Amino acid sequence: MVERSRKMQDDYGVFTLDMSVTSRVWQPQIENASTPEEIINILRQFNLDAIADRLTDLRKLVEVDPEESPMELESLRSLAIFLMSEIRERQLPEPEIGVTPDGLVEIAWSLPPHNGILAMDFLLSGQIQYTAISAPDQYGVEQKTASGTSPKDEIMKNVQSFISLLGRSCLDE
Amino acid sequence: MNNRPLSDNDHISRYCKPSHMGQNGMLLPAAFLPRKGEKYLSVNWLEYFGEADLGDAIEEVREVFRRKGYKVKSNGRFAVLEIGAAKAAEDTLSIKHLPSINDESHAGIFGDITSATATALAMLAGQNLYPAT
Repeated sequence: MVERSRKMQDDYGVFTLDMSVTSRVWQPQIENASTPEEIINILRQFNLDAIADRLTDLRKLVEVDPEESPMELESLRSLAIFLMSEIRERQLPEPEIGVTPDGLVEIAWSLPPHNGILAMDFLLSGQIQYTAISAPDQYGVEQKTASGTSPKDEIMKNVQSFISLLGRSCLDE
Repeated sequence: MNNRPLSDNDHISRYCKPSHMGQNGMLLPAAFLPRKGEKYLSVNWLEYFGEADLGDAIEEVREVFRRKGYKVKSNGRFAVLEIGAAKAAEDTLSIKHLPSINDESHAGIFGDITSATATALAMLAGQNLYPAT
């Protein structure tokens, strides 16, 4: 059962408290899903419609092009948990989404102001392989890079300086 | 197979499938990741065609793909890299001419292509994208 956002009032005005975020009712649903469609539907139930549409499109590509790689279920599950627990809770911009030749779901953001890249691949182990480059070196600015493999709970700490380029103070707790 | 290393000043293109392009047109690092067991990334050497304009060379590549019967998708892209810039991004890379009977411009990117390498190549090539059709 999806819990809906509830408006609450305090001394300082009206704000929105999304009970689905605070109570993580989605987590067992994603963990217990047995098909990609189930996982995509859960994302849709929690208003991640654009991402659900993209994942559906990626799955359809395989039906029309045998060269395309089918998406691995465990990679998709790992992505979905990450989207709900990190992207959504921290109100990050929605990432671009693709699939690697080995069927892993890949997300990426273009990093302003110089078209750097922050990319994450969702491994079958549940860990996340990340790479970040702040800018191409032709801009004459210091090029910061980071790469590695992390559990989901640690990755935002490892890429904090790149996430901050997305223009949100999303890591402020 | 010729295996001749190509000049740093020359350019190569790689066909990027729709699953390697983000929903808003961003070129993803996945485009430069090899499949398991793949020894090199297939590309086309653009100076082979003798065109002054890279866009005209890409049209030649489109024709090569048509002749080979490889169906590119309208939402795929050809991503172009300067060879010297690609090699500067990862110093183990080498780019060699690998002509085949039905694709004389065929070439390969060899070397240690990690996720970090693929990200660096996507960042460079993302600035030089051409429609696949």
